[in-house]
Amino acid sequence: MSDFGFHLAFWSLAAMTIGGASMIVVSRNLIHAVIWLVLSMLGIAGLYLTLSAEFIAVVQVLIYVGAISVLMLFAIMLTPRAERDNSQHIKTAGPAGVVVIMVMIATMWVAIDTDWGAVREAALTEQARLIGESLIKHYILPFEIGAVLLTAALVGAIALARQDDEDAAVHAASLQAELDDDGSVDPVDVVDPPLPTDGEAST
Amino acid sequence: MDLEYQLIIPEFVMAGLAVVIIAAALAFRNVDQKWFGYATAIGLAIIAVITAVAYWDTNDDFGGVLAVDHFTVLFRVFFLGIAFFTVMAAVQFAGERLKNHAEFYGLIVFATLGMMLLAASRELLTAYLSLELLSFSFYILVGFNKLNPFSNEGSLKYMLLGAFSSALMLYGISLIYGVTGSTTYSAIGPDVVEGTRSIAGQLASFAGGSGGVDPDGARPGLLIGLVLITAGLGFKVSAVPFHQWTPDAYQGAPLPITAFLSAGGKAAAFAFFLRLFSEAFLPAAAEWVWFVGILAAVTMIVGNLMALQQTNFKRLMAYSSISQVGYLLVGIVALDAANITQSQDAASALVLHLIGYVTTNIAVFAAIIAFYNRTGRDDIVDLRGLAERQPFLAFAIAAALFSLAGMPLFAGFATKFIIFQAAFNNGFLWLGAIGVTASFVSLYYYLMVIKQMYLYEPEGSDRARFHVSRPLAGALVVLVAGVLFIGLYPTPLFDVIHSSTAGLFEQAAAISAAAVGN
Repeated sequence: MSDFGFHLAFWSLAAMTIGGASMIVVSRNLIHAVIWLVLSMLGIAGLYLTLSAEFIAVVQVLIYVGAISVLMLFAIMLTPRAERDNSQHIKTAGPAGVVVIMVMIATMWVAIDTDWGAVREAALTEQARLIGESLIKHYILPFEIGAVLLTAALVGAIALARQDDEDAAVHAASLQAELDDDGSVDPVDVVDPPLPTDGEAST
Repeated sequence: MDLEYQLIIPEFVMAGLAVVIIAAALAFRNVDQKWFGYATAIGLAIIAVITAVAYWDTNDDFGGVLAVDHFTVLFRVFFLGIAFFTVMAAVQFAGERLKNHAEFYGLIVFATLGMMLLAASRELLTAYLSLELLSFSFYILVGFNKLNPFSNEGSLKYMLLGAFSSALMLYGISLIYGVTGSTTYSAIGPDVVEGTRSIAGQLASFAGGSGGVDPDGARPGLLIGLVLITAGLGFKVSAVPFHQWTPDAYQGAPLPITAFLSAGGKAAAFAFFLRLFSEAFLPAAAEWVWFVGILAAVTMIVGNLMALQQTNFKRLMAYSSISQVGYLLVGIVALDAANITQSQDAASALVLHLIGYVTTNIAVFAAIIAFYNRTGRDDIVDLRGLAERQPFLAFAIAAALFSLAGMPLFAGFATKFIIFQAAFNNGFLWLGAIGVTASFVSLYYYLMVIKQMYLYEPEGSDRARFHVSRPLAGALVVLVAGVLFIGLYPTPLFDVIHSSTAGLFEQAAAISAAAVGN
């Protein structure tokens, strides 16, 4: 590998990653922040490529750059416009900055001072096959635990999110109670007080 | 490579049981929900018996990912027992106060499956995924009472902090992987790793001052990795700087889930803690023993002091369980790389205390569930005059609380005695002293509850005597008998535990023998 090309790739990707990450913090508009996040993640994917981990690089692009950033954009689009921007002055910025700098120093210390050993080199084309093989051979059990985990999470999510008929009744009662509470300060309702509907309304 | 799938049949059956219970609710819509509970309990009991009978003599390895040895089998049966008693205690409660019963029992089974895999894992990724299976089931179960805002709040706090702790732990795992080049315990444990990258190589050079490796180099990754893994585990077991979610989750969760969380969740995390630190990290004990020791001391002190101020019984039990975590961590601290026999004693003491604590805690919660089924209240003052209204419940709670405080005759005394003895033997006098003092403090708040039950007359509109449903009463009798049995005659249980912890130290023994040989 030509040394110059490698260094050029590394430094430009590193600049892209760190520049994107800094712009996330600086930008006032949350949607812009997500776009910068995409840039930063693309930079990380490129860094994976320079480490000849091309499978992880592709997965990084598919999952983080593709799916997760779109999910974030959806979530931001669905929040009210007034709460969308992070323009408020944050009071804890000073202490947070100190903590971040300490974490950074610790990370640098770990990264530089540790003997990580040599990276085993693998041919670029082999990787997906090797990962797939170890997933369905040696690591079949963790793979299956992941499947069970997803099943449990799905079942639980449905059990928590599903609105039963009885739930609907309770919700309606509590909404009614809220309306009644509001009514008590309303001058119109002082003249004509709301009738208590049932036990729920008094709580 | 051929994997021996028969080793993990109990886990397969557990996953099947959970799915069958959930699917059965779709097929049998008009069946009374309590039968789902009893079916789950029967299934768990059958799996427990089969596991105990068929696997006790197994000592095998599932491709280096999972070990099926005495330790695994002991904990499999233990977790199945915890789940069995939780389900028995939950049936009436769930029928009256919860919905989606089949999912409720199914998730309890999923959580138990996670515990069983966690205790057996010998590989960091498998352990991590099992821990997540366990945690996800608990996040959902804590929020299962979905019309109760406390339940929602507890679940959300637990989930957010749980996700944060998982991130810490994953980062720690990645650092350990980076330093040692492997995620299996047997390879992280030094003798397999090649050359200077091994912990053993570093330790040998550190001890002998030779070997061509700079003793100061190559360490920070390992150290920070250990700190991060300990912090992540600290969240899961709720050790003190990481305990903030515990009281809210305990208070918000439906009572049977509080019981399950305080018993099963902790037991599983400690089984993982013990296996990881005795198989993989024991040779590096000098790196972690000091911060785990500080963690244990702070947990014992803060847990007990915070418990003094509580008025809600569930929050009291939350802080009580935090202080118990402190005692259990003493067992981890007492592991000693240089003395394998002593390490094994410490590990056995930890497991014994864990079993005693869990039995006691489930007994307390089973009794409180019976009380709650009748009254719907869970403050400490609500227990006023319980001895008049239901003497058996009052006796069960009193016996269990005495055991948690470490009074003689009850489980807590024998088990705490052995665990502090292990700490003393290993030179941690200060830690043992803190533990004994903290136990005396804890006696105060447990006695306050007992005082409410025995010294006051019942108050309020409902002061009649009441009955406890038969399955619940039966479970309670067994649990209280267990508490007394462990307290009076712990020897047979200790022998079983001691034979199961022997396997944890084979690798460390081989390493230290090799070190002596060099």
